[in-house]
Amino acid sequence: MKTIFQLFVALPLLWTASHVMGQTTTPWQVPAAKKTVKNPVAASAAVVEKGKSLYNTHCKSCHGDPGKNNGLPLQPKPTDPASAQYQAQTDGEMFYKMMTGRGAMPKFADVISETDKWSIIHYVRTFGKKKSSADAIEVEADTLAMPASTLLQAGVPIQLNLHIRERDTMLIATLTTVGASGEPVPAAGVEVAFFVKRYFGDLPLGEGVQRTDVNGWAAVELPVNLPGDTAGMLTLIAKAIINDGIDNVSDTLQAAFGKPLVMRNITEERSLWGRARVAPLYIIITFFGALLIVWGTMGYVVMNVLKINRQEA
Amino acid sequence: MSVNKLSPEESRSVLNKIETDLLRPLTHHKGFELWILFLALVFIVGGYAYFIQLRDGLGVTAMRDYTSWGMYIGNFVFFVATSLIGMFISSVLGLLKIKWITPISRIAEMIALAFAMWAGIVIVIDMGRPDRLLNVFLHGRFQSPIVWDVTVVTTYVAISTLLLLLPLIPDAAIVRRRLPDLPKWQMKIYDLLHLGWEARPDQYQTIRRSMRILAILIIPVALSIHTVTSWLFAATLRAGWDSTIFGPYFVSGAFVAGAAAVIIAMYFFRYNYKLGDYITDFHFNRMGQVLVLVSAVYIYFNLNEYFVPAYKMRTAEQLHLHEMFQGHWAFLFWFTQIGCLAIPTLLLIFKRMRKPGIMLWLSVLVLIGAWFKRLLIVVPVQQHPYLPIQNVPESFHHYVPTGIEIMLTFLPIAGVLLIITIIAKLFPVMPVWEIAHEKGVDESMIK
Repeated sequence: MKTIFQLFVALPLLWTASHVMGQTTTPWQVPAAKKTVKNPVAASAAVVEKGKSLYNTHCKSCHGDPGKNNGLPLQPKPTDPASAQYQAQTDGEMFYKMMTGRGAMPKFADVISETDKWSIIHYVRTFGKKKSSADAIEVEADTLAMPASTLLQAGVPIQLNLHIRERDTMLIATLTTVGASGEPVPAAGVEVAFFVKRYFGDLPLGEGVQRTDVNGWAAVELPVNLPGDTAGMLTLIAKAIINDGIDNVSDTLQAAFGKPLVMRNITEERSLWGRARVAPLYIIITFFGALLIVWGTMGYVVMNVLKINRQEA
Repeated sequence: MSVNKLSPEESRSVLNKIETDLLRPLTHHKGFELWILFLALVFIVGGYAYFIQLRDGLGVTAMRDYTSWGMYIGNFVFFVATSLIGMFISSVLGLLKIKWITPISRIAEMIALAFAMWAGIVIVIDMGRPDRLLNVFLHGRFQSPIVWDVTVVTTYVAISTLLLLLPLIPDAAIVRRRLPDLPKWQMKIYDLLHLGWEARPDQYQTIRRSMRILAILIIPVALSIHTVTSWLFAATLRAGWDSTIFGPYFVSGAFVAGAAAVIIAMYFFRYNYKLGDYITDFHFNRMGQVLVLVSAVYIYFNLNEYFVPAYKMRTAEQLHLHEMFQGHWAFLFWFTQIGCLAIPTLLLIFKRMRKPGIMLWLSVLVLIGAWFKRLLIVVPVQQHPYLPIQNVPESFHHYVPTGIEIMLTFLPIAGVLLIITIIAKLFPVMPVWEIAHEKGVDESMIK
């Protein structure tokens, strides 16, 4: 909720800022020395995954999904990273622009580490047409090293089983698929996302992207202090992302690993505003104490007076 | 304790005169039937009004969503206030060993009991569904001043009854001996009440000791009954009620109303019951001084209650205070504050004003002012809610009591007079034995 609220505040501000500060549509000049800087981080599937995750966190809100041209309508419009115009830049230029920022484009010098910035560039490059160029790398080939991918794309059914290893509260998803002769085979290299069900939406678990290993396992550690329901039950979800989220397979699990939710029912607590049954003790004691003293004294007086006709010995 | 002991012969003749004087009204009652008839008439008219209210609901009153406490509650506060004088005269002045209160102590007790009893009934009159009264006891919240109010009013009625009955024990024995020809049912009451009184020293000791205990006990109870009544208002946030001095402000105002009521009753009993030898100018002079004292304290509290908020004039208070000082309620406000409080107090400072005739009229003025003052405390505040209702009906903005309400205000007043009349008809209005004792009559003869 808070994020949505922040977005509502931030969007008009950004839009205004882009109009006020970004009027200069002059080309963004990058110093020649910076232009030629090479990406020092070696490309790998892990790096690309990391870059994707970072892109989704820091860049997507303005630049949109690469290739879909759905960035924010700012002035000037944030360039789609998959566009030819964008991909025409050198890695050095991209890096420089992320470092310095201009207009509505924030300065990420201190926000994202250098390694991470280079990882984002690796990820963005996967949308470039010139994948075989000097800067781009064979990400596809790398991904293909994971055997499950091919199986999945062929539409072979896949099954996800979620369980908890109680010893160290690891949440484990086991993915199995069907082998060539119909026998169950572990599905390796499949992206698995873990969540805990909350009131509003699902809370993602674990850092970065989890993929199943050769045994078809993906795991994430379950945080110990998550609030559950009154019995401490949590609803855990594992989702295998298949075909870019089109053919997801998921499994849910109820587990008493949360902190039991203690509902504080203030109408049951003693208070001045509550019902008579939950009146503050000091009021009840004062009330009945005073009543006892006054009526007791009156009773004492009456008893004495009623005895006055008795002749004293 | 007696001033000068009389010889047995003198004792007999003095006691005889006191008994004759004080018991005469029990058998001689010119105009008594007419007076009862008048009260009965008020009861019939009031009873019919109550029937209409029961049948048609509280809609027959002028009370609406804004002014939901009207004349009934004002009347209730007035009744509770006036009843406090019993505690002031027989307890506070009595414990201070002030002698002149002896002939008026029972008058004060009668007023206290009658007003306190009817205060409880007035609250029931204000209920739209009196059949749900029991719910206050079944589901009442100890946190609410309403429950304390019901409790302390009941307790105060009980103690006042005891304080009235205890000194009646020797008097019942005297009436029994002196007037054996009274109707049988009446004699039964004296038989029951005299508890075998033989004027023995140990009996005197028991009565005096018991009265002393009750006199002490009634002080906190009486203070709490009117303090709690004030908290019914002060425990809210409404501008005009949200005041820290409401407790003492109400209590001091109560003594003003009660003292005025006692003076009026004194005047009536002195002339109608021909008790000029007992309620003398001296007693009026003293009661006048009491009225000046309590009025001065009350004026002081009024200054605090009105001029401190008026000096600050917070927005919410402003609306209320302007209506009181120069708006809709201005005439009634200044009439009660100046005409019915300041002027009588100023006049009574002078000794020549403290004479029965003048004091009667000044007391009537003070008592009327005291009644309207309660209305001014209760009603105007409610017409300026913090959160006004939108498109509120015109009738919510004003409060003019309906005929039903006026009739049902006179009914309890007649009820109070009826109780006082009945007590004064059945028993001497002064404690015969105490008066005789003060005149030096041998105590063992008073039986």
